[in-house]
Amino acid sequence: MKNLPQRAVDVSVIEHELKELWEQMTEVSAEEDQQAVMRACVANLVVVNPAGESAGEISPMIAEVTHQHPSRVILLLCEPDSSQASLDAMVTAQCHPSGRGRKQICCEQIVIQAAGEDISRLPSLVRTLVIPDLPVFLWWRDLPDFKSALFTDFMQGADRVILDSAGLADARQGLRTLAGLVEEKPQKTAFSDLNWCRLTPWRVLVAGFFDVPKYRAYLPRLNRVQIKSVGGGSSEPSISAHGLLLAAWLASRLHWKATTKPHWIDERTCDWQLEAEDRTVTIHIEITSPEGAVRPGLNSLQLLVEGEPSAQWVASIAADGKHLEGYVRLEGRSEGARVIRLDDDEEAQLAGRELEILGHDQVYEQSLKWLVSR
Amino acid sequence: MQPSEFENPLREGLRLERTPEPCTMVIFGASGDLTKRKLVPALYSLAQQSLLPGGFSIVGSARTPMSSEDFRARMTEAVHHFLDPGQVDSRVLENCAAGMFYTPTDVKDPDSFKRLSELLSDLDEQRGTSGNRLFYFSTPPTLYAPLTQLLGSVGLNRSSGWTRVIIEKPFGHDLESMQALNKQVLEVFREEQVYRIDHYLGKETVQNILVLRFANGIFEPLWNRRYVDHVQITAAESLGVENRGGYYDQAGVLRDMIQNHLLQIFTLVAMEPPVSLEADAVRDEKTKVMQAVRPIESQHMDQFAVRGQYEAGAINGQPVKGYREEKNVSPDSNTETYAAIKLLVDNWRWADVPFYLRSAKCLPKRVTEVAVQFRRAPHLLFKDSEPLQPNSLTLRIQPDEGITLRFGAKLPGQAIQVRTVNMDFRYGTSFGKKSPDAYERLLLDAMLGDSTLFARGDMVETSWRLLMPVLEAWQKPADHFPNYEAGSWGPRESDEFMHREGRRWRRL
Ligand SMILES: NC(=O)c1ccc[n+]([C@@H]2O[C@H](COP(=O)([O-])OP(=O)(O)OC[C@H]3O[C@@H](n4cnc5c(N)ncnc54)[C@H](OP(=O)(O)O)[C@@H]3O)[C@@H](O)[C@H]2O)c1
Repeated sequence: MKNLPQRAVDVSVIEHELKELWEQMTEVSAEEDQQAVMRACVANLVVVNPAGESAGEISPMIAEVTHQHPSRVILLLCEPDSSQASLDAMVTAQCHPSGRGRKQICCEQIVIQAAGEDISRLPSLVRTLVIPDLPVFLWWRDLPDFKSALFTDFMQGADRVILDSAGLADARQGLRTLAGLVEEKPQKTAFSDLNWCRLTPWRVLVAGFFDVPKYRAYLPRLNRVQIKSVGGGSSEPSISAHGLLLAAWLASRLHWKATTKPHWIDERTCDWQLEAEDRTVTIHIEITSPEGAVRPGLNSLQLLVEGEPSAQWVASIAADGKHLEGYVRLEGRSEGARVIRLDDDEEAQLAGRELEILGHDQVYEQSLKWLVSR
Repeated sequence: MQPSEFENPLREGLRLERTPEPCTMVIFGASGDLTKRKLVPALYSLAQQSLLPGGFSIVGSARTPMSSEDFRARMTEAVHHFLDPGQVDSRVLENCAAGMFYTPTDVKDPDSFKRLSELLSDLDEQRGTSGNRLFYFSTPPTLYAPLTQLLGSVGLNRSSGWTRVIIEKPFGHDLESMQALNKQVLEVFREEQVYRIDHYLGKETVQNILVLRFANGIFEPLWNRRYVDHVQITAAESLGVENRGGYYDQAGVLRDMIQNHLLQIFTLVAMEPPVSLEADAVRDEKTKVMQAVRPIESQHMDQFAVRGQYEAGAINGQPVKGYREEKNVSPDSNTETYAAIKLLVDNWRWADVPFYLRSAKCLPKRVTEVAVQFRRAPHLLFKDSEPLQPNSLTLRIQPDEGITLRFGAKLPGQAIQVRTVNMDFRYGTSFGKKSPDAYERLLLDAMLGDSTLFARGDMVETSWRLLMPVLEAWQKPADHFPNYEAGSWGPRESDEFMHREGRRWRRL
């Protein structure tokens, strides 16, 4: 990645600076006898950085995302606790060699630093800086206060909001608030949850089991689900957001209803009784210690049919921490082994995948709604 | 036929929604080059992206005796060899290899097909593939008919699930052999079970022709005789025949490239908008436009086609042998390594707009592109300017995939000076993501039952019918061969041909 010299500029002249930046880039490429710098742009990416993190820290992550999805990046660095209001902006370009020859993919990046009261000016400023008629992705890296005017204001200008529910202190309450937002905004803004994306390989593996018709025939008899996940060490017993999302996904797809709250057996284990058409399904959640775990988050998932003939589908993180493995036990025999490579759980890769879609993720939204429907 | 759908409530909403039903792919010719170079690496890539269904199995078959273990070892090595090291995950590969099996078959030994049938039934039971089968013919073309018959004779042309067969190119050697093969195939399989593969159609940029034309409102209104002067479709190769001399000397470039790949691209450029993207809707339109091509009359062959053969020369500063000196090529070979043909489409959209198709070996560089050349502006206002080039829209298929629009713009200054500029869009410099290999897309489509990107029998027949007069005329000895130097842009006759047309070949 090559960054041109950064220039602090007055906010009102940002567009002008961008134009100059591209002219300068063209000159540089001509001097270096390179092919013209090309600019393609598929989206606006507005990134709200957590307080205290600098532009330098997040730059590699943004570079990775824009390499796949050339976008105009508007990076917002906020210091809400500052007593002095201020607003500063600078423009830079991020260029990546395209692999073949010396051609480059270049994206422009506007960095805006706002402090104190001036933070409230950001939504309107961003609205004037986005490239017209291209989708706006709002990537809120810290968890926003869903009810704040600032978040609402930003959300109204965005086609898709990208969040990470992994950081929710009270996962159940947080996801319910999120579900409320999704309900409220059924048409416009779509939501992406990086925590939900982390479940994708699990969902792919489990769904893959049930591609096979003979296994699918067992679905109406499934009566136990065991989820093991690494706990964050909070003092209150609570189910993590990914555990809730996984349970909600299974329940909403398989039409199970929750009539009671999860019942805590001890600090680390809870049972949640759900009602299926003709039976009770128990979701058993175990929170394991982070010590010795090869990967944070979900560690294993089992789906069981108890009674005769019995069946068990097992998915778990492999010992190398880089794969998800699964197999089926049917009448005492193991079969149907599957392996899926897990991507590095990096935020940039997850966010990059979210930029691939524009519409609503219906299954995610239905899972959220399931959590509040009880 | 519609892509197959099946109910798995947990599949819903996964972004990999296009997942086929569990199935077995049987590869005939599994000890051959295509299997190791393309097919198995493509299947592995699909597995790594979790695009294959649970229970997916591969059965390799050829005459070579080999155990399933040997086959797994060979294929594992091939995947490591033909994919970049970074692309291969050994755990996933190991899991993929566990689903590979091998059973020898020989068309001379019908019992070997019974054993294949038994293996497939066992796999249905063990791996839950439910009788869904995809046969892939990757053998010498002479075996396509006997293989079909044998599959029919042991009842493998149908099952409790779906059965499909992918047939490699070439599908026939001329009209008569194509019709005979088609008849034999259709005695055993129904047309909707037959997938005639043309890997060009699996290329993203070829599919992008459809997107460019039908997802944008601005091009289609210009896409007709009022605005288009002519279209040039070029597939230039810088390589010679390499070690395929024996095959090539029987085929020539007209059969090897134009009958299939270039005519497929031509139909995508020239077809009417389909009513939907369903396989038959698209393929109906492609066939229709092919049927609208004016037959080439033998007595006016030189107004429609030019042929050439390369002699020794140099490419990229490296000396290159002449065609007749290549291994397994007859020293007085008549086979063309350069062909250019003109197609006229007799319909309302394209009347009087020629389509020029050319393809050759040993040209200075490798380029495949479609260039739509627009008519000149009707009245030249800017008389003081240099003569302007007409507008053109170029779709570059390989390498450097992209789109270029050429138009006139004013040079900055007091005087009105108009210059031609290119506005370029390149995939490689716009998106950091690599396009998947053509075989990945096509294999997945076949498993899903989507035949849009495969050639239908009537279209293949029409294409052979169209080219037969040229093939027959080119049976006559070519006294002027060889007539172009390796590393040049082709024979002088070809330039003269375009000159007579009042046009010129694009310099590439
Ligand atoms: N290679 C390419 O890039 C490419 C590209 C486009 C199309 N194609 C087409 O794909 C097909 C395969 O090409 P290839 O390059 O893989 O050819 P290849 O390397 O010569 O392989 C041919 C295969 O057919 C088997 N075979 C030959 N005679 C047989 C018989 N009597 N009974 C059963 N099996 C027999 C061979 O195995 P045994 O000797 O063990 O029986 C071998 O596995 C050809 O039709 C070719 O035109 C190839």
